[in-house]
Amino acid sequence: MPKASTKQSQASSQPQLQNPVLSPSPDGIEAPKNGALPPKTEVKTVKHVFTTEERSKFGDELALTEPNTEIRREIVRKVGLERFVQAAGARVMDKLGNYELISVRLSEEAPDCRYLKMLNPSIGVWHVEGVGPDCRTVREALHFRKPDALRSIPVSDNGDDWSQQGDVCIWPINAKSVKPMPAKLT
Amino acid sequence: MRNKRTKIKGGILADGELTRHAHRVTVDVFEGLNGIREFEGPTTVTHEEHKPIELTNQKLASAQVREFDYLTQMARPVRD
Repeated sequence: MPKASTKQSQASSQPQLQNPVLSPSPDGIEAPKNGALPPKTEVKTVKHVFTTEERSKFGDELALTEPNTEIRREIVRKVGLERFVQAAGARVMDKLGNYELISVRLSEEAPDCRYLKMLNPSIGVWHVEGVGPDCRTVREALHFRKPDALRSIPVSDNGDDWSQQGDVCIWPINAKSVKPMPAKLT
Repeated sequence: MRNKRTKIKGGILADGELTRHAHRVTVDVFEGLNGIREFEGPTTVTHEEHKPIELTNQKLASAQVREFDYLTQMARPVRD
């Protein structure tokens, strides 16, 4: 479920203390080293998360349970993706390019929750999103993530090209089959 | 079913409920009862946090990816 991020380049010259996401916080969780400021609109998006008085809830658990992917992304940006993955007890099941399928133990009742860790190639931000419990490979996870109408189209190496921009997939209406991976991904 | 389509203002394929950032194209976009948005290329899809994608001259469909929520044990379209 979590969609998370860290930005792993740029930074020290930027006014980090003005950023509620990256500022040192009283709960002792430090901003990611070399982290970069998110766009102003993202700061606005997450402000209410980091001004909450429920500091004890902040962190890995919150990142896993927050339903909004943008907020989740900023929580994990704050926590740091590596810390989040380690703290959540993640196990890497498969890797393909900039994708990793990981298994996370959320609780005793949910010991094997599967997430796809992926990179937004446009801005270098990492995301973690939940995929079905039956996904065993990155390819299966990518197929799971497709919207219903696209997922219903057979997959073939000779199929039509399709594109993906962030969380939106675009494909030819009359496609009889589509390639396994998007031809264009940004 | 075609005549049940609704024209979407602003050529928006999807937008963030909090950021209001949007995936949008420069041509007319229609949404059917199944939630699929349809439009015709050539056009370019843009978004504030993603590089643009050039789309070729053909009829196209778009929809948002889904994710699995382990709290509810259900798949749902991604919310952002």
